[in-house]
Amino acid sequence: MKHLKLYLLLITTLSFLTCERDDLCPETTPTTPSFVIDFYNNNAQDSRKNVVDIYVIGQDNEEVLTGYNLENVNQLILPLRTDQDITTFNITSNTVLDDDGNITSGNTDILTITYARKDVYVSRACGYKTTFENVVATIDGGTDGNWVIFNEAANDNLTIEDDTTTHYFFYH
Amino acid sequence: MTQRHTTFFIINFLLCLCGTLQAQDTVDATQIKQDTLKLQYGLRIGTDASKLIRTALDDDYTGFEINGDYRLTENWFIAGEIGNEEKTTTNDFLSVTAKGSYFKAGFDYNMYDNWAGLDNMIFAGFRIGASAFSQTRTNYTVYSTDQYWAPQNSSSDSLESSGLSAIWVELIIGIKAEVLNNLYLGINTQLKGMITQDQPVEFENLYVPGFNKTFDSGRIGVGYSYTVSYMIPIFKKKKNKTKKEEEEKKEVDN
Repeated sequence: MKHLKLYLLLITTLSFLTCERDDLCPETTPTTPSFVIDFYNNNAQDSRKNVVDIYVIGQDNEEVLTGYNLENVNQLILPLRTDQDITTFNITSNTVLDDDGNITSGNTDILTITYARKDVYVSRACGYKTTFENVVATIDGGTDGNWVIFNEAANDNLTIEDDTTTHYFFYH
Repeated sequence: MTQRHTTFFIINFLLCLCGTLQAQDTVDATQIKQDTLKLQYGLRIGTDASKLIRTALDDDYTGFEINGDYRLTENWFIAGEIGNEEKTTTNDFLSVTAKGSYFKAGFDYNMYDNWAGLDNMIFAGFRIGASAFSQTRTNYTVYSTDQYWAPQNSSSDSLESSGLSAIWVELIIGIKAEVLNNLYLGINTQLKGMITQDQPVEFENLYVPGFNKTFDSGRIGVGYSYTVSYMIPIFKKKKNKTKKEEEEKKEVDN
């Protein structure tokens, strides 16, 4: 009988171990990667160059992309659609907006990214992530001409499995 | 003459001592006979009540287990479980159903010193467990930290991985109490260590029948049971004196 308390304690401790401890996806776990673009100076192609007052909005999306509402940036991190093989953004430089949020001045280029999707299992808590293969970015300057003059992929047959490295270089 | 006497005395003394020791032995033997109690030997068959309750209450779970043990010696039991489980694991991003049967076999050791006439147990034991099962992913939603393009892609393409198996070991501690004649109630917890398991292609086992939930971080698993069991009596055998009775006797002697 003298050991009874000890056994009860052991049983209780073991039952606490059963508490769920890995049902939240940790932020440090790499999940669906974003598309990373670095901006360079077209006249001095080794040096980075800021885009002034950039304004990025996805086609078929009403929200401006967070972090790209009239900011000065030299890098663009774009989320890709996981429900279709194409994602399109309108990217405007030197943007001026009126009070209703309409663009009154600036040069808008249409960036179209095409790819093949692959869903990869991550873990119980994070489920699946999408990786992108054969990624190709094309720029259409529209009626107002290109402000992105030249672009190139970091490598051929570009695959996006993580967003720790740059995938594309844009020169302007 | 004196020397002869001395030798005689020593021999005599030794003989006496031996005689006394022998006499002591015979006294103890009769004492044991008087003190022995009959110990029930038989097959104890039962079920895990927690699995039945969970089957009734939890829509995502169906399970049944038959467990049994058989007394080998006073404190050693051969024990085992056989069962069937179906468990659906669902979170915001994933829904997976594991389904299959398992078998566990091993030994229990009773550490509890019963009062005369009682047959309760505080026991520790070990098992080797094996399971044959299938795992079906019924749907998933892609996880992304950036929800600009929400909702993310969802798929309900069923992906079944069948013919999976797993082998593990268990440490088990618990109690069993005889509440009515030959009817026992018990509770135990199990700590499991996976030895080997087949992982589905490009996926993983989230639940293994018998092993229960797997953890991302390693091979450890846990489980518990509430057992209700009935002892089918086969024969009774004399039981050695318990330590308690020995202690009591010592106290009386003192």
